Formats: sequence, C-alpha cells, structure tokens
Amino acid sequence: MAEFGFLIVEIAYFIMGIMTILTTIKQWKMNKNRMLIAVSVYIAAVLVRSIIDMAVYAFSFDIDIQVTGSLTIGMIMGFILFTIQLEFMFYLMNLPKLYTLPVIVSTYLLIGRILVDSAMPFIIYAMITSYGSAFFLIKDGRKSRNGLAIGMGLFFLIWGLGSTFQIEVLFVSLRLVAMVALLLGTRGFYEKYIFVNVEEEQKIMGTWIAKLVVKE
Amino acid sequence: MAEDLFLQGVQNIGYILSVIVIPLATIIIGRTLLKEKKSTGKLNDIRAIIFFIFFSFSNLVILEFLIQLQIYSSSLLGELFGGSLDGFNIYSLVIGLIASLGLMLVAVANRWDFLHYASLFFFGGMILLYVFTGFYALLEPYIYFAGAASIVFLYLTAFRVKDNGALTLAIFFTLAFGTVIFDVALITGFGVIIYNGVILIFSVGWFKPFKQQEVMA
Repeated sequence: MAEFGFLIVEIAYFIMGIMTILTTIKQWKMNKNRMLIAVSVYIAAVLVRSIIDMAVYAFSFDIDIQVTGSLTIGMIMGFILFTIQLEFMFYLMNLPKLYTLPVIVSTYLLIGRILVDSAMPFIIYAMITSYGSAFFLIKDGRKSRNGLAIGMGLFFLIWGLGSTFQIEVLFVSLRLVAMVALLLGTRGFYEKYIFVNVEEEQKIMGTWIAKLVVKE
Repeated sequence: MAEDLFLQGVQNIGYILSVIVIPLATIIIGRTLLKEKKSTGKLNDIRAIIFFIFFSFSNLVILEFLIQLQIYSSSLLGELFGGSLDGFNIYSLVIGLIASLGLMLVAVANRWDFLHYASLFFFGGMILLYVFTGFYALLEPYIYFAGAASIVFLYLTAFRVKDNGALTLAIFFTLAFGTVIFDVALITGFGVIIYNGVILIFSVGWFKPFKQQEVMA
C-alpha cells in the first residue's frame, strides 16, 4: 500500500518535472539564456532517476542490486546526479577550472564504496553538494532578485534534506516539495510575490497619497 | 671490482651534483618568479608551476642524498622515504606530485581551462583514498602514465607554442623518468649527471632554442 502512495507522489513529481522543463525551454526560446538550458538538462537527468523509481514502486523492481563490493545501481545513479549537480553549480559560478572535480570525486567515492561498506562518504558528499549549491543559489538569487536561482536553491536544499535523512517517506515527500519550489521559480512566482518591487510600491503609495490630498 | 667502483663513483657524482644544482636552480627560478611578480604585479602561472616542480625535486634529492650517502640516516627516515613507487612513501608522493604538476603545466600552457587542476585533483584523491581505505594500486600506473603523458605533451607544447621552459622540462622529465623506469646503475648515474647539466643551463638562461617565445618570457 505504501508503495502505491509512493508511486502517486513519484508520478506527481515526474509531471511537475516535465512542466518545469517545458517552462524553462519556453523561456529559453524567448531570451536564449543558456542557464535555462542547463536547468532543463539537470532536471531531465533528475527525471531519468524518477522513471526508474516509478518502475521500482510499480513493479517492485529492486534498484539496490549490487554491482560489486558494496556498490549498488541506486548509488551509482546517485553519484551521477550529484556529479551533474556540481557541474551545474560550477557552470553557474563560472569556474571552468573546477569542471573535472565532480567527476574525480565521484570516481574515488565509487571506488571507496567498492572497497569499504560505509554509506557515510556518500551522505557527506550529498550534503556538501546539496547544501553548498543551495547556499550559493539562494544567496545569489536574493542578491540579483532571480526567482529561478531561488527556485533551484530551494530545490537543492529540500532535496538535500531528503537525501540526508535516508528515510523513504521523507525522501519521496521532500522531493515533491523540492520540485514544487523549482516549478514556482521557473514560473516567476518569487519575483511576483516574494521580491516586492519597492520602487513600484512607493509609486502606488504615492499615487494614493496624492489622490487623498486632492480629495481633501 | 673496478667496474663497481666506477659505477659507485658516477652515482656519487650524480648525487652530489643533484644536491647542489637542483636547489640552486630552484633558487634562481624562485628569484626570477618573484622579480617578475614585483615588476608586473602578477604571478606567472607557468613559472610558478616550474618553480614548484623544482622545489619538490630539491626536497627529494636532498633527502635521497642524506639517505644514500649515509650522512644522516635513520631507519625511520629510510622507511618514510621508501625509494620505490610500489606504495605510498615520500619518494612516490613527490614523484607523483611532480608528474601531476607536469600535466598541470601542459594544461596551463595550452590554456585548457577545464584541465588546469585535473591531475592534482586526481592525485589528491588517490592520497585520500589511501588514507581512508589503504588502497594504493592506482599509484604506480598513474605515475608512469602521468610521467609519459607529461613528456609527450611537454614536447608537443614546447614546439607548438615555442616555449623554452616547456622544452627544458620535457628534456628534464625524459631523463628523470628514464632513470626511474630504467633502474640500471650506469643509466641512472649518467642520466642524473646529464639532467643536472640541462637544469643548470636552463636556470641561468643559456638554453634558448626558441628565440621568440609565446608563453614564457
């Protein structure tokens, strides 16, 4: 029964992911901003994992098949996603000299996982990647009043929280919340309702005061 | 008997030359680097990498000199130094670092931004993996691969960008790695003497086969 619930949440997550990709591609067609394409590629990678998760919940397919040592397919996919996430971060931060770092770190963690049966390095890597990316994106998004950056930051933060706890109910639910936050970011929600335009507000206030003065 | 004495003599000359020439070359390169930084206000990446290569090599030859000639030698120092690439020890760490810096030099000289620190990340990761898991099987193949790749790309870079520094390092790497790979007393002895000569000529600025350079001054 729980599996069915997870499947419903996963399908909702997948649909929202598709909606996010469609929105970013639509916006990219208008302003040709390369960041939007990078976001679409990242979300597409996230959705590949989602398709497998849906198969897991629908057909009770076991993703934790051991490849060698303590390394499972699920963990390999996790490493690939974190690699893409870090690459995406370095691309946004314009740090081309660090492009090889995520690949090398993931490779060594994979080797380490084969040699030692401990999930701690993976969890620490996931936390650093998610919280580091979230911190940078939310800080930068606030400074530049960029809703998409805030959305991505919240996505990484909430997704990272889910990965940290390693409890399936929390992981699946927080992933959905993360995708909602991202979807809102791509649709301009934060610009509209969170970043209130001070100048515009003052103009409106000024108009009202002027009207009141005229009436009096 | 006479052959042994001859070989021992050649090796000792090599050790003594190395311990004088390489630190001297490091000081000369370091001074040039600082002078350039003072006059231009910017650190020349290529010169800085060459300096770190020589600095690492200086430390290695001084330690090797102390151990080989038994001027100062303790079992602990000998154990830490190791002297082979089969496992992590001071010798393999410094040789690995030099090979990684060689690859870094190639990436910087060719302006391959995304590869700038790749070799250092890879080597650093290998050290961390060893610290946490005791796994070192990648070390020896990496050093041979990085050494060979550095030599090939340094020659290519030297001729492509007409860079005297890259060409000197290519010759130096060829001789230095040659002595590591072909561990034959006669080759090692003469190899060490020749690369000391090359380094000395380069550091005093006499080695300039390319009159007009594009990368280094």
